[in-house]
Amino acid sequence: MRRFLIVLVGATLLVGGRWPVAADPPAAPAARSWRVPYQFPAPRHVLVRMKLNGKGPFNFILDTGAPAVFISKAAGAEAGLVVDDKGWANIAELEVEGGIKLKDSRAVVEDPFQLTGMNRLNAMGRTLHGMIGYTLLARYRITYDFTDTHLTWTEIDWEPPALARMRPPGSKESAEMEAMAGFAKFATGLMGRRPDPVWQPRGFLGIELEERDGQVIVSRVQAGSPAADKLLPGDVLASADGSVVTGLAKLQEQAAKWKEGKTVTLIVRRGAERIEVDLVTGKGV
Amino acid sequence: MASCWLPLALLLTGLQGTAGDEPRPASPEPVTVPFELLASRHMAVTIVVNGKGPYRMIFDTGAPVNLLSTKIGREAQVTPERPARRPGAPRGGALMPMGVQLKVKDLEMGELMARDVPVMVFDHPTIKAIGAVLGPIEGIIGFPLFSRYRVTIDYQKKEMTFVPVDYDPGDVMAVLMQSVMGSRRDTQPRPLASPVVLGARIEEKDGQLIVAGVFGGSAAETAGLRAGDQLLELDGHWLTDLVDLSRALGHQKAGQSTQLKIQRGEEEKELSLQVRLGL
Repeated sequence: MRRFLIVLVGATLLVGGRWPVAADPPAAPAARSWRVPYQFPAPRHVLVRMKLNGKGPFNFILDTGAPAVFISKAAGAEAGLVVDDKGWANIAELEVEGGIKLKDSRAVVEDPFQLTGMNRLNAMGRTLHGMIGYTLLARYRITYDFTDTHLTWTEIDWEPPALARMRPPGSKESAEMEAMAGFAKFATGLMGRRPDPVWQPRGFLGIELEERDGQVIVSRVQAGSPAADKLLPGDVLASADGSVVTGLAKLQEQAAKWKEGKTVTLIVRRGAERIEVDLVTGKGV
Repeated sequence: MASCWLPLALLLTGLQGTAGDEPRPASPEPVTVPFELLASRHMAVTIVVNGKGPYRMIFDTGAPVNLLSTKIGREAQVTPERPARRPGAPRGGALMPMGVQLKVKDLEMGELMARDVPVMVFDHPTIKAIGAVLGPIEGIIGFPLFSRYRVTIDYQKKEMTFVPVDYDPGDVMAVLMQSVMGSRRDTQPRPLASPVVLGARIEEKDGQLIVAGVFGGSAAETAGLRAGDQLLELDGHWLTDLVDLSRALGHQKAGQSTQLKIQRGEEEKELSLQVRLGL
């Protein structure tokens, strides 16, 4: 329970002497910058993937509320991390999606109850493997912009202040937090797990499209694709699977639900002709 | 992380997120906001709420909500209109959040001025515990505020810069509720599709994506992709399965060149890929 508390508090330091000061990797000399892809699953956590010792990718929440990098025990085991008696492990090779590679990083291998709770609920439709907190975040100047597809991480050439030791909190707060952790476990137990999403790849036609003056026009037909020999460049899509084609974005939305192997009837205008074509969607991206 | 538990606690209160007005960036100019690095290594910022304060808050990118203490709620008159504890709801002191979403009319954080900021008023035990050691802390600033800006955090300078962006965080509470409650029984398959086409058959095998075939005249063919190639990265996105590939392709703009890293035999290669819209 004490372990739960530590993470719950979001501050390992609140527990005096619990964690030794982490030996962090040395900073590289030049200020390099990376564009780091992120995912943004509900409920609005910024998720960044990492590989640990070449294993993974694992899903991490970027969390300035966490004092260190926390890695779930399962992910730690998969990555072959050896955990010392203080709960820390050395990661020989740590990679952040987008190209950051670090040697000999330190992390806490632990199952914070928030992580356990989120995974029990499967709120994000994927397994979370930990949090990226202060010890890693402080080494980079990080830009968050949710109108952009990537975060920007720029190396800072400095040694962030190490984790300090602090007195444990008063017993009243401890009791409250302990109750809260218990409550969360209880509540998540009741909720049941949301199923993992089932992904259904869109059936593939092999046509390239463009929109011109509100018309959706075939710009290319890929050789060997389901549409080959059936559609021609210049064909104007009038209707698809029974719906009038009003725009490319709308058509894309509709077509996203077409399974592989589905027969799709297209009506196209070719010159003065109106042609009805049946296509069977195939496998392809 | 400090408030990850909150949605869990909220579940039992049965409260729904309220539909919010679309927040707007409050300031047209980039502003710098200093922060304090607490001994707990949290970031602390100072805010003024409806002209009251200042109050010291934890800035938490892992928090899906903004949380204000009941002290702020009282002093700045951000009080809930109805009591949070409903009749018949379980009792439990700390476990009883005032799970009512409210709006702060004026929130100042350093030079940053924000209007109509969604908040919840609740004394978070974690915050109290940290405050007991580090001096008063009156809540958490999280996603609903910082998502309105391009935020750069610099721990060395101990400052953040904020530039308004046109991002609508939407109703975070509703999203939260839906993500944990809504689609529990929803087993409808989710479409895996992106607006752009690569023009290749790709097979998923043991965490690898292998090209099974390339269609003539496609972007894949033009880029030089061949059957047998293993896809490694697209525009910095790791490619381990079709979900990864679809997500990465979804970020690509038609007609723009992007780097596709592949493994061909023993060799790692970078291809230049220009995807196009299609089906």
